Formats: sequence, structure tokens, C-alpha cells
Amino acid sequence: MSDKFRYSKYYRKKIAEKEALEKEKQVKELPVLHSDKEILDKIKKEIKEDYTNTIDFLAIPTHIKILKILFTIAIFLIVLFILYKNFISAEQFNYFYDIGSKGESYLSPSYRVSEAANFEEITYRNLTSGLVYFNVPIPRGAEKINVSVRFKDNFSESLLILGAKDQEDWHYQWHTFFSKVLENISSEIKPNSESNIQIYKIDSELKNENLIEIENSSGLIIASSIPINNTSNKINFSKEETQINNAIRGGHTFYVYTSGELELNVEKQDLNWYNGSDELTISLYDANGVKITNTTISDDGIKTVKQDKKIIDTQAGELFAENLSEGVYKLVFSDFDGIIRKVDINTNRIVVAGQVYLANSNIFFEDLGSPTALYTAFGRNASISFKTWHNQGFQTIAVNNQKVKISERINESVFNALPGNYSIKAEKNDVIVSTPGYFAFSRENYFEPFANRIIPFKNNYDWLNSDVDYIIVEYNPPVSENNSWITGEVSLNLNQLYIKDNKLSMVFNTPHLAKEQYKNYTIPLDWINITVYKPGLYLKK
Amino acid sequence: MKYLFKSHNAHLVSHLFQNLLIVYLILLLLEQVVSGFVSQYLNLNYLLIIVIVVGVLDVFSEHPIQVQQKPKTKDYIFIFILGVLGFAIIKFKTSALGWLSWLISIIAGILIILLSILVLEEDENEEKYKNS
Repeated sequence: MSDKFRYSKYYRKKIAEKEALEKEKQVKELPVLHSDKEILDKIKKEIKEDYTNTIDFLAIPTHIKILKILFTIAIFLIVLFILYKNFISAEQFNYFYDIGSKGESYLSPSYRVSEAANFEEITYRNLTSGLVYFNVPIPRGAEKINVSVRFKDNFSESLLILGAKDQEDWHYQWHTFFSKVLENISSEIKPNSESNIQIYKIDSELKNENLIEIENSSGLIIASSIPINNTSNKINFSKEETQINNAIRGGHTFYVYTSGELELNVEKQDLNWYNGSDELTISLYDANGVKITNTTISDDGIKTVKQDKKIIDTQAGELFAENLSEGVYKLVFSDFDGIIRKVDINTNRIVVAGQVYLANSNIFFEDLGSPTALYTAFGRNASISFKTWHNQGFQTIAVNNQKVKISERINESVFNALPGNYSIKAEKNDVIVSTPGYFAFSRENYFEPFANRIIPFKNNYDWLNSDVDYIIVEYNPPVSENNSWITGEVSLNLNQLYIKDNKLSMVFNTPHLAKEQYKNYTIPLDWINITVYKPGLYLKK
Repeated sequence: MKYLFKSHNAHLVSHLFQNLLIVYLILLLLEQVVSGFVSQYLNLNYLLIIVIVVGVLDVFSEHPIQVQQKPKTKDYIFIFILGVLGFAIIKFKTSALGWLSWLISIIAGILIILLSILVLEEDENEEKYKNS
């Protein structure tokens, strides 16, 4: 029986084997058990790595730690440096433009300067035309700029002016670098200097020496390039209607004496001799130059050139102001391409300052052409000059009982007046009449607005010597060197200037180079040295 | 590859490069917004040369293995702040264009935000794809 085949035993054995196999298989296939170990190993490994890294990190050598801190501080200092420079420290920036040096192109447009030249190892260029521009970088917060220029002068009437842009439009603030006329006057009369203001006493018999004394005196004629205080006179007047029917051309400055309400009616007519819109703006200022109000008379609708003498369209406008205290007021008529045909105002005191362009001529419109009378007065010797732009303006002008012949275009005809009253009669008009004083269109309208006559400085030696008592100008006398080079300097306040994209536009103006006959009298320019000052936080005004 | 700097030295170079780069970018941004703010006192090109040199050294130095992380809320907030900042700078620089300035700067701001989110989530998706 023992050798006998026993199915039950066989099958139990087979089943057990199968179960064992399956169990083994299951064990083999169980990934959990397999990966647990792996994961465990992996975690152990990571912990070990992290631990090692941490230990490594904690064990950064001291010199590395110090270097890291130093680098961080250095970088932080760069930022602090920029902030300090911008907001706290006072700075001075210097820009040296060596004109004529290799590759430079500071001046523009290039056709208004010569090619670079070299003489005795000095490189330079010549200014060959009236306006030559250059730009100056202006750092944020800068308040003052000094411009020095080294140049040569080779012309008896030369004038070198520096312009600094002060408005968005083409508008520059002008400062004289060099005036041959002032240099000549300086050689004869020692100026009284008050900082960079020079006071030249032309009439040696006058007593006043300094600016305050001059401002407080009366009856003087002062040629000035700077604003000067002037006391307005008190005069008798009546508020009666005054009409000026004499045509005048372009911009004019009137002074009126009034109080209470001011009513001004103006009629203008566009000439359209030039392209563009021809608005006329009339502005009212008080005696201190403070603007009170303004009005604008519109264009006639013709914006292109159209010279038609038959056009009779006029445009009218009015200016009204009230509550005016009794005194002198200034009316500024802006320059425009047209004729002011009629001025109507409710005061009997109205004069034109300095210059009047008589336009009652049929060269402008067919219906114009009647003679014009002007009235003026002087307390000292003075000149009245007459200038015409056209042949139609050739005529003989009557000044009291004397005659002044105008037979040349552009060149002035001058009448030398003695103290007294003068009436001027122009038959054909189309003439610009100028004087260091005031004109009225009738004797009743005439008045002397201020204690002194302050007129713009003109670079004319004869005129300054004959018509002016004092010259008051902002002028730093330039320094001449033995080798005929001259260094001039100008200081400007940046707060009054127009700076765009951190740049200031500047221009050299040499008026004589704009005239054909003086074209060859070019001005050599060696260098421009610019210093810009930025005040510190505590020095800011 | 043979590294120029290893271990702590590499870490130092990396630290220097990151700091210099951030300062350079901040100064460049300030110069763009307020012209002359930096250039009047410091030539940024010199700083750029230093940044490039240190950057090259950093590239050839040993770097620790970067672990990808899931974007968090603060990442999205940071992107939003960058978008607003971009909008403000572009508005400031194009203010002369009037209404067009608003349009350009708003579109630019939105683009900055959307592109940044796209880049951020693309990294995350890439990571998921690799894992799958």
C-alpha cells in the first residue's frame, strides 16, 4: 500500500507546490515591498546629501562669507552713489568743445561754419553766417550755466551774442559776449561795474553814478539791455474818445494814461504778403509790466500769399479792462503781416514808444495814401531817423520847418533834433520813424509816460554817443590775449530757459554776418567751455 | 566639462553676477524713465562690461542642481506687479501720444502678464510630461 499510488497525496503535494509557486510569484511581483526599500534608500541618500550640503553650507569659509558681504555692500554703494549725486551733493559739470579738433561737429548747421583750420597749433572754425547753433547737456536740478568762448574779432562794428533758448518756439534769451562798440566806449569812459552790469555815463556832466541813483532821477535817456525801474509820471488827462485813423504797419507798443475802465477798439487789415495766419494780439500791461488782459483779432481767412490792394475786408476787435487805478498802461500790438487801420480808445493820452511804421500808402491798399502827422518832444539833443523798404517811400519829410529827404532804401535818413517840440509830416508814408522817445498822432495825445526814457540798447557807436545819457548793459568785458584771441564769458540762470531732453539749445548770433556786404568778416572760434552748476540739497533755492 | 570655479567660489561668482545684473537693470530702468539720472554720474556701459564678464565666469562655473517647483500664488502676484510696472513705464515714455499711449501701455501690460504666465505654466507642464 505504501508503494501504491495515492492520488490524494499527489494532488495535495501538487497543490502545495502550486500555491508555493504562486506565493513566490506574488512575492516577486509585489512592487511595494521592492520599492519601499529603494525609496528608503533614496530617502536615506537624500537626507545624507542634504545633511552634507547643509554642513557644507554652514561650513562656508570665512573669506567667502566676507567677500560676499563686501560685494553686496559695493553694489549697494553704487546705488547710494547715484542717489547721493542726484539728490544731495552739489555738482559742477564741465563740457569743453574744442572747435576744429579732429572729428568734432559741435556747431550746426555745418554750412554756416568753415572747415576746420589750424594756425600756430590752434584749431578753430570760422562762423560764416548769422546764426550758428550748439547744444549743451543739462543735468537734472542744474540751476546755473557759465559759457566761455575764445574767438577773434576782425570787424569794427562786430557783435557776438549768445542766445539761450527760453521758449518751446523759436525764442532765445540774448546775452552779449563781445561788443566792439562797448569796447570802444570803454576805452573812452570807464564803466561803473555792479556785478556783471556795466554803467557807462555818456554825458560826463551828469552826476549819478550807480544804478539806484539813476533809477531815482528823471529826464534821462538810458539805453539798456536789462529791465530797469522807471517811475511813471502823473499827468492831467480826460476820458474822452481818441481816434487814430492813420494806418500803421505791424507790431507797435503804445503807452496810455487812464483810470477806471479802458475801452479799446481796433480795426486791422491783413496784407497777406507772406504765407501764414495773420492774427493780431493786443496785450494790456500795467506800468510794472504785469499783464492785465489781452485780446486777439483773427486772420482774414487768407493764409497764403495774395497781394490784392483792392481787398477792403477788415477785422475788428476790442479790449476792455475795468477797475484800473490812475496811471500809465502799456498796450502791445503783436507783429503781424498787416495794417492797423484804426485805433479808438477812451482816453486822450496815447503815445507810441520808440518807433512807428507809417503805412498810409497806396503801396499797401488803394484807398490809403493821405499824409500823416506825428508829434514828438525832446528835453535834450536827439535824432529822428527815417527808413523805407520800398522806392515808393522816397519822399521829403517835413520836421517842423526843416526837410529830411529819403532817397535810399534801407539806409536811414537822420534828423538831428535840439531840445523842443517837433511835428513831423510825411506825405507818402511807407516810412519807419524812430527816435529815443515817444510819438503821438496829435499834440493833445502826447504825454511823457515815465520819469526816464529807457530805450533798447543798439550796437551803434554814433547813436549811443549822440542820443543817450547812460548805457546800462549786462556785459562781462572780455579778456584780450596778446595773440589777438579774445575770451568772453556769459552766466545764465537755467530756471528761465527751455530745456528739452536734458539739452539746452544755444546759438551764436553775429548780426553783421547776415549782411551781404560784411559776409567776409567771419569770426574764428577756438573753443567753447561750458560749466553747469547743480546746487546741493541744502543749497537749493 | 571642466569648471572655472567650483563649490564656494562658484557660489560667490553666481552671487556677484546676480547682484550686479539686478543693479544694472534697475539703473538702466531709472535711466530710461528719467533721462540722465544715472548717465550723468556713471557710464552704464562700464557696468555692463563688468556684468558680462562676471556673467561669462558664472556660466562656466559649477551650479547646484535646480529643483523644479510648482508655481505658487506669490509667483502670480509677482507677475501681476511686473505687468503693472511695465504698463506704468510704457505709459510714462509714450505719454506724448495721447489716447494711443493708453492703448499701447495697456496692451503691453496685458502681454507681459500673459506671456509670463505662459512661460511659468509651460515649465510646470513640461515637468508633468516628463514625469508621465
